[in-house]
Amino acid sequence: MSGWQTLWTWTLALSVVLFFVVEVVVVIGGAGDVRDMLRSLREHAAAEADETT
Amino acid sequence: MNFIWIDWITVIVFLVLTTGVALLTRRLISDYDSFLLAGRTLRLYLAMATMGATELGLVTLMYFSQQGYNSGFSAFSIGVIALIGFVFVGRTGFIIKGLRDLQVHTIAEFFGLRYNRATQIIAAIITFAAGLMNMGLFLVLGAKFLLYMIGFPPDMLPYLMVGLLLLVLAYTVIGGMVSVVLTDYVQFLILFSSVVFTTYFAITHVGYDTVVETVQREYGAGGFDPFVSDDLGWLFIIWLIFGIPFSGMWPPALSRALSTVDSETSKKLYSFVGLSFLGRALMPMMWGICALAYFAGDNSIPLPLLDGKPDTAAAMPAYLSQILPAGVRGLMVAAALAAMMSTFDSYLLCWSSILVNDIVLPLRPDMKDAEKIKLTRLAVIACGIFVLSWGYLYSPPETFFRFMAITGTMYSASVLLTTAAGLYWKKANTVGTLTSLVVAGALPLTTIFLGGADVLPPEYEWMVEDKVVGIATFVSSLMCIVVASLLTQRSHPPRPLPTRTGKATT
Repeated sequence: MSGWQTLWTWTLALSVVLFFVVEVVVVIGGAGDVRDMLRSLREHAAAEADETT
Repeated sequence: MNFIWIDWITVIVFLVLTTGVALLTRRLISDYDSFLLAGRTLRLYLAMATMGATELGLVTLMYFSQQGYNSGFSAFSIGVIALIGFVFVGRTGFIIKGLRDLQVHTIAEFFGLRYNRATQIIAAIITFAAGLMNMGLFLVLGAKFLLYMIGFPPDMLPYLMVGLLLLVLAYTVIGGMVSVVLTDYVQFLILFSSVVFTTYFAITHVGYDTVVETVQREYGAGGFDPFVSDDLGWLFIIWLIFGIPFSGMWPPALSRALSTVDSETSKKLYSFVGLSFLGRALMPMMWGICALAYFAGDNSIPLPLLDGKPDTAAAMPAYLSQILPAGVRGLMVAAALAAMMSTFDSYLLCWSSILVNDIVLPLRPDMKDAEKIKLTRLAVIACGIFVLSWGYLYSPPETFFRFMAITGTMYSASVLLTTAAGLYWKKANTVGTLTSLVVAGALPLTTIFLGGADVLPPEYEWMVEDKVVGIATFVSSLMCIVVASLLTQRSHPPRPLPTRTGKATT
């Protein structure tokens, strides 16, 4: 296997690992962020409604 | 027809889930900020999910797989350059930190703050034009993927395009950024998992050694070495290197950075999610290379044709439809729909917001929030209709990726390069910026409209080749802003950048 072939084989393997790590971290951490965003938007919408009444 | 009942059920469940989210979040839209930037409440992981899902569209899978089919392993250099770019932007905060600290809604708004209203409008028009053209191929590529995966007859393509457009329009118009962000989170999970699974199936079906041998046989050393590749070459690599400082700053991705709670979160976002950009490019490219090995190895299986020539963009879905097991095929189509919707909705919302914020609002500053939301929704529909028409009428001279790259250059070399100058060079003035915007905004049009159109004599065709025009656009843009700004310092003294610091409203 030439130098380029070896380089691309290892790069592909690295890309799969990095992709998977990012996925796991983001899915777990994102669940809490979704909850926070919805709470914040709900409070904001309520405050806007109070101002208009 | 390749689909069976379990595939259909998977797809239908996914569609019900995502459109339901859009309807449920509608009541949370209380003003323009909450419609467009989710109230600037995106925290790190959710921003990563939405940026990851947005930047991994079905169109991404299609154009990278086609590039892998056409260039072999050499195409991997594109992914490596993207990774370097993201790491650079994430570490330095180049452009993104400055814009986030100024709390602008869109990048063109910066031109209004730093220069004047006319410059803002011109920057917005260039961004809008480049963006719409770039998005013009989304529908046709997405529909082509579904056509070959599901196994519909080719004459169904226009109907699929219309169906996909209606689906995306429905929940983008209703929900705005909040529904986009929430569906992105669900789509991120489905999409990223499916990409990894599909890569496994794609490689194991033909075998990695067979893939390497096929690339060696079909493309020789150029199938591995990007500098000697017939399709890429050193000029192409130089062109991509010019774009490194502007990686991931296409407006829809940038809007994620502007939606985060502060500029440090924006930097972390680029540093971390950028790591997935290597796989975002390499895995679909690998599917395309595996498709090459599959169709080259067994002549009894024909590659789909387009106008009598091999349709290399259709190779990947045609291959996957043959090798993926039932159920996984449905999951892959659901993931592809997720990919298409998460990208398409964000892009539609982004271009529409540029139209409203940076072209209409400077002319009608007294517009109320309700009017802005209504106009943005109308703009979303108009952009969708344009994309449908462009997909019918235009076919790029090179691969789809290279069309994306030249429209990206139209934006990077003009709007982003002048933004960088405006943020980091005190002598940048209105004249220099306008000159640079106009020159860099116009040059790529030569490739887009003259490349492959047979209007130039063969000896001059190289002048409209994308690699040459891409490099020329970056160089001439830089020269224009430097020279024109220095020559007009007295007549047009630079306007200082206003400071607008402070945390987002959460």
